[in-house]
Amino acid sequence: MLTFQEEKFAPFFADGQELFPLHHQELALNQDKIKMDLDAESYQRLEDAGRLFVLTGRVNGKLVGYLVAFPVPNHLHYKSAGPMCLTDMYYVLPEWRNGIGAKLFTEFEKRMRARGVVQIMTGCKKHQDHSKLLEILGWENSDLTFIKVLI
Amino acid sequence: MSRLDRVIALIAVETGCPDITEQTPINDLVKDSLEFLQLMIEVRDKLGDFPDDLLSKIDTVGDVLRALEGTLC
Repeated sequence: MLTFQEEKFAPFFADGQELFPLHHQELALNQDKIKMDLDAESYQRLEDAGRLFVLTGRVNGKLVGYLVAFPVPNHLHYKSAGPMCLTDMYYVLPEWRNGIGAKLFTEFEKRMRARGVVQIMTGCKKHQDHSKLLEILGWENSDLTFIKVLI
Repeated sequence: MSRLDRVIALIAVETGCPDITEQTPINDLVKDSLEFLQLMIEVRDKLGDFPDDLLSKIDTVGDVLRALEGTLC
């Protein structure tokens, strides 16, 4: 049985140890130069400050997908607009990619609406483009992101 | 034809899977999230409507019917 739930960072981080390397291998660029090294202490500090949102998808308790985001009470550019939330990362195990990703995003939106969040922001890799899926869900493509490795 | 039969018939046509029942998981009928959403859009276009926030609760063909009826909670 598939369930979605908000979780504390610590148990999510423990269960995610099998998924994080898969996530990194599939999506990260320049892996030879920049290694995966999740900063658990900083995530925990963010959670303690109310600035971390962790949504998981579990099938019979087994972690199969997640969406992590950073809610802020006010955006630096739009102080009076209301709370906003930016996704940090999201992932679904390949063998479960038959609808769970879409459900993860609808669940994310539902929970953000319930919190009074006025705008949610996300992204995707150019080499794994989710534009169509997000646009069907009502998201607007607003930005392009560029990187340049300096080492 | 009952509402359930219409849901089953439409999903069977859209997915090319004839042997579906009320208990069939939607996940078994689609290959990814995009197909899942496209199937739900077809259902809504042809059979009725339900809010996006119910999408995360739809697991089976029967759940689609309940979403259309407003009884999925």
